[in-house]
Amino acid sequence: MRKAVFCCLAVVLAAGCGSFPAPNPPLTHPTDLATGYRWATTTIPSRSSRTFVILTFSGGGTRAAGLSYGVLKQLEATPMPGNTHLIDNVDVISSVSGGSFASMDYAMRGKEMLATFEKDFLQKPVQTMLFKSAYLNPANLFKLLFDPHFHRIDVAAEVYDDVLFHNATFTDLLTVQKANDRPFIIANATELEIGSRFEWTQDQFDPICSDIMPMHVARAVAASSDFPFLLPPMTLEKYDAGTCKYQTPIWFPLARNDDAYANPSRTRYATELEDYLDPARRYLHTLDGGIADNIGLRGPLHALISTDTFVQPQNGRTGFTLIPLLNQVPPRPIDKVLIIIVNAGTEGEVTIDKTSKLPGLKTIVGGVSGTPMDNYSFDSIQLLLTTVSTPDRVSSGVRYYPVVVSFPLIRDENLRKVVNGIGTSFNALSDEQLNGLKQAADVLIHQDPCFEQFLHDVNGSPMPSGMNCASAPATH
Amino acid sequence: MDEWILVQFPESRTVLVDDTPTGVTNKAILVQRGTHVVALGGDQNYSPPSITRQVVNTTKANPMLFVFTKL
Repeated sequence: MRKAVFCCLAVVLAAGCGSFPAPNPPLTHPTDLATGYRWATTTIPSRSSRTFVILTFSGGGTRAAGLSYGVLKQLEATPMPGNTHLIDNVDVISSVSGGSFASMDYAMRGKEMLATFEKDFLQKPVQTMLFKSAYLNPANLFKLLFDPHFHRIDVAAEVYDDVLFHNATFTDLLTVQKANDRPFIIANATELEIGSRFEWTQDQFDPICSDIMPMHVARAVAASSDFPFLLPPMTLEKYDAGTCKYQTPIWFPLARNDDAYANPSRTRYATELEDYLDPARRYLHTLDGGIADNIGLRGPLHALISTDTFVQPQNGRTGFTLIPLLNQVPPRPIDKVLIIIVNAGTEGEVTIDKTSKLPGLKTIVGGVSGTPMDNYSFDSIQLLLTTVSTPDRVSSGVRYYPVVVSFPLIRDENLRKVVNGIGTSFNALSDEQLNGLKQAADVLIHQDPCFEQFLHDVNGSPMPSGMNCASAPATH
Repeated sequence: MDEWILVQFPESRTVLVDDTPTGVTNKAILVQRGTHVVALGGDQNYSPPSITRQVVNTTKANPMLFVFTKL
């Protein structure tokens, strides 16, 4: 026995002393927009529907996963023309942290997921499973203690594989997407030093010359929900751009050098790409996607505004942009854009302001990190609303329906109290909490004037009196 | 920030903005504010081969014109 332990220790130490075993393999062929899990390889850019549906799922642990699941259930129950349902028409889901469990599981299993997600994930004590797998599993504990390249975030990815994803890779994800015409999933993490969104798609992996396809989707979900302080950052290797013949897109030097004063946000996007390409950067360290954008809206918003992406177009294939679709370019001209923002952020009760006593460090850290995130989320939604309601967009022939699913909008005080009381963790939801989240999704979807306006415009459903979707003028 | 361009050409062609098929000729095209390389898809029987210009302060009713001639 002692001999076996010694041998194991020797093997682990030898591995630890060696080079970093990157979880992300290099790309072994030149970047190619016809391969890899990316916008251009999915069925979405050439779907025949003139209606484009975007969902964004926020962070917020199991609470966020439950609310996202509740919204998916509502979309499943919403009929659309052609004997379909709204859920069948979802094109893109951009998700963060807890929301990525729902988006990725839906992407892998489709509507089958809606029947089992409660028992498979929402009512499972995943947080306890993470603890047990890290500290009560001798093999993992041994590796955590002696292998400098094995961390708790790696344990998390293994647990998520066991619980939900069963070793599915991005190759599997693309296969089921194409076979079933399922949505394009963008699982968002944050690159810690650059401070930018890090999307788990091949378009993002191209500049680091890495191949996303053999990687487990569970690892993307783990990266997306890599909560700071509780879990360490995930380290990815950045390979030399020459190894995959990565070509910077044609917009890059123009935006980087000429547009700093005309359009600072375009230049900033260029500097983000420049940061990824910096030869001094040999690794990436990613954390929870909530740090860069806790509601997952920024990626779709960028696609509604810009044709700039991290990849150079090839033979008509592009990175994720909706501008060609909005401009009626074949193969997919569109005339309606439904954007459902599912934000599981909570409103706190009065606690520290009840007394003059100074709050503890944990409370202060929570406030310091949470307040900018909440304000940024609010501003992201405002930016979307401003963008889609300009007179030129409104008169362009494309109608936008921004729908916000967010707890402060719940009018029933009791329901609001139930959902706001669900902490941010991966603990199992109680029946009351789960039912509250499903009810919140139902209420919030259907009280939104733009959702009802959308149903009115596509189905001819009666528009409830007193409702007005300002960004989508009524046509019926 | 939204801007609008109009690419004039005697035929209906795909318009490439920064190599992305972004719109069609002779119809207002939504683009992002900034400097863009505009060219046409299909046969290279037009001139100039591309036009690079910073697109600012336009509206759909008053787009920036990019004019190509057929060779």
